[in-house]
Amino acid sequence: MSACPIQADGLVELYFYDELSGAERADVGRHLSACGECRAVLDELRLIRGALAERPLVVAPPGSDWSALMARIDRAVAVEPVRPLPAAAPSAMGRPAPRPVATLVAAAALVALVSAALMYQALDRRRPSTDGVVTAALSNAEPEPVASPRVPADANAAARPDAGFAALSEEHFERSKLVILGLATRDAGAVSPSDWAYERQLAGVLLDDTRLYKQAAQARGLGRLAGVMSDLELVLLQTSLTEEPDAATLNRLQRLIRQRDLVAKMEVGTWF
Amino acid sequence: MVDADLIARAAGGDTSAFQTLVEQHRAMVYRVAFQFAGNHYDAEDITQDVFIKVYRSLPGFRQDAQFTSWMYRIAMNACIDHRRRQPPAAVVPITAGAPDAEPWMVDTVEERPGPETCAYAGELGSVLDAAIGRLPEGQRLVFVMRHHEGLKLVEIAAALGLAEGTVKRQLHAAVHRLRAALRAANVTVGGRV
Repeated sequence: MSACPIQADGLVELYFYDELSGAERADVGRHLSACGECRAVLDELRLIRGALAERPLVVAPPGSDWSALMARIDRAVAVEPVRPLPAAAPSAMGRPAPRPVATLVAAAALVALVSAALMYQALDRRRPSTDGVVTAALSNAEPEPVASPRVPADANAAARPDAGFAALSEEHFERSKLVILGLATRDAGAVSPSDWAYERQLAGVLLDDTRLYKQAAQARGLGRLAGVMSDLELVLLQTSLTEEPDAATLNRLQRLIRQRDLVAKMEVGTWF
Repeated sequence: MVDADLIARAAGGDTSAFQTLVEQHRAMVYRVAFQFAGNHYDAEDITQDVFIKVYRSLPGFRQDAQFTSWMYRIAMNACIDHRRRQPPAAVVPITAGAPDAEPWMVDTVEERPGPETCAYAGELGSVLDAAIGRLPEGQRLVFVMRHHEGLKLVEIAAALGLAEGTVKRQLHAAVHRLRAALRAANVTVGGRV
């Protein structure tokens, strides 16, 4: 452990990586001129930079042969739901004909989704209106679930609330509760890291789907649900990234769950 | 600079436009994936995941956003998601260029060091590669994105949905471990002990 608080606080790294404001940088610069320990850290950082700069930069598959990987990507994209071309893009631009199987799957999913939504709407017409779209840092970085392909805006509005999506979200919440309740109910002072290893592992498994559901909720204008998914995503991410599963970390996660009121928010049906 | 028309056409389902986008960005994505995963097998999987997510997400891409930043965000998340799907025993350390690396692992470099390259630097690089491969994934990702890719910590934090302070701590911990690895290998500034 370093005796110098500047170094212990990571300010030398931040100085090195130019992550400090002008005044902070000047302060640390003055400190460096007087502190041999911190100068040694800075020298090591420069050594690391120099050594890594000499390393081979791998930017392609073996032999620079992209053909196999490109073929994999093509095959994966080919089974994605087909999107309509924008009006400005004529078919003569080289787009291949839609794959029949993908087209049928997309059409069947759309029919099932709209049918389920209409049934759901008929059963429950007293649902409160939804909030606006939640803005999140990853707002356009993730896909929507494959299980719920995009529908035209007018059809989407007609189908709201989306019963199929609601059912999937509820199912996801049920699985996520295993993590949230597992973390929230443990006695942080009396657990060992292995006691909540299951929650840490499951958090990582659920994280990807949580992002997908958040995006899908945003796309449907289900702001409250998107907000809960966003809170859930944060807790799952922090849990799955846990490096030292000690009592302090569990305490921090429990505080986060309480601050976000996540246990109450994840009660099924309260977020539509 | 990515052609907005190309993005719009790819978003609309034009597969040839999407293929062009892939060709334009695949080296960047592969570089990030390899730096994170340390082996071609996982780097290819991550690269494929990234472009599938890009394909799905393109219709939601805001034209006023930076396409490259957006790609970085997807790549970072794909790295974490990929690692999450791996059992702990399947994690392969970074070994490219290490003395015992398979020959093909260094056949695909953009800039290979020439014979005049200092052997000492190469030795340090091997120590560091191995140490980076042993970093916990969060620290590794933050280090790779800051050190190799030059992203600001605030950008990394936004992409990962983490507080900037958390990312700073990850970077500090990563650097601490790398420095410890140098010391463990008896490497000090100025030469081997």
